[in-house]
Amino acid sequence: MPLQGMGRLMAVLCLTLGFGSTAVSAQPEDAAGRVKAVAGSAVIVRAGTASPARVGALVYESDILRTGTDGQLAVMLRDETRLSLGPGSDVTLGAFMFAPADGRLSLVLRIARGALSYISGRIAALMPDAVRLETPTSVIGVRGTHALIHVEAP
Amino acid sequence: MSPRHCLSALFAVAVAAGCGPTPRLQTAEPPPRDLVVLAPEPESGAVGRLVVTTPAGAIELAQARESTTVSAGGAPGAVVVLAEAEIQRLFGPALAVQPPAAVRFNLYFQTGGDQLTPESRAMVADVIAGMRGRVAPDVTVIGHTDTTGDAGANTALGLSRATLIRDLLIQAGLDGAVVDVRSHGESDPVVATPDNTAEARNRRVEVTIR
Repeated sequence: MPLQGMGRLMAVLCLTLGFGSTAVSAQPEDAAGRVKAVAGSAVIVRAGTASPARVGALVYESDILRTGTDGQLAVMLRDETRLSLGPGSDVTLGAFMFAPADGRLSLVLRIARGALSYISGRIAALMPDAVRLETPTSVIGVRGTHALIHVEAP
Repeated sequence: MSPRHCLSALFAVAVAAGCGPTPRLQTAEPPPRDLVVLAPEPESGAVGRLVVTTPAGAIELAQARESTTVSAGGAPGAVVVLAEAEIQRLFGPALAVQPPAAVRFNLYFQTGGDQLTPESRAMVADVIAGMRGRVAPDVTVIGHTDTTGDAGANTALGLSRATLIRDLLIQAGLDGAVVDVRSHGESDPVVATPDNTAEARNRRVEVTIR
């Protein structure tokens, strides 16, 4: 089993056994970030299963962040990138790799609809080309900055 | 039947027969349309650059509140400076929950052990203040040494420095479970030096709160 799979299995086991259900713990190496704020309805979709986004919840690569019509959601990634979503938003963490010692850096966000505020973290500072923000119509490259993206889509 | 109704009826028949203007396809949803805005960074006010690219073209945003609108299949539209009120209308709820920026502190040590310098001892209060008011904080504490002595011993020394700082933060009320403690030993100096060189700026613990 790949290490990442092990980490998730452990996380699932811990939840099943009742550990860590309220306590916040140090981020495991394979986590991409943590939920810092939630209002209204917001979910994290992981491997096709949606669970309510709670403050302190971990976010992983490939997760989809989704808010309802009354929802707001904020996440800080491990490299200090800040993401916040307005209502009716759908943002996929397409890729996240933050291993500066090995020079392995990557951040891909796909905004399918809604409103996203993105503030660059260390990946963008260390290797700007490693960051790509994708919408249904465009690809956005960043040079150390704050981007606001609004997508009207079905 | 009035003449007007008569005309309408005729028109309906013509349309039904495939004559007259072709009816436009009615789609349930508008096609994707994106708006990209360059904003100043909230803490520093710094403005970077964004490059918006589609298969049909690319455009650069380089000034605060510059925006471009992109429709499916088209090139990015001309740059428009958005009014603050429009930014608030579209992004207010997202901006309202934006997390505060991560903060970083360097605490320095006296040579060869885990005694903080007097200046850095005073700075511990700033680190503690940086944690206050943060929701679900993540704290990384990384110990570093200079190149004096053996690399293995320095890894251990870096860890004991980092652990000391973690313990101070826990005493101040931080939940120890959210702290990630590690040592980079002598491998990640701020100032590059030859081996076996005392360098005060490299004897440090870096605390990041995010």
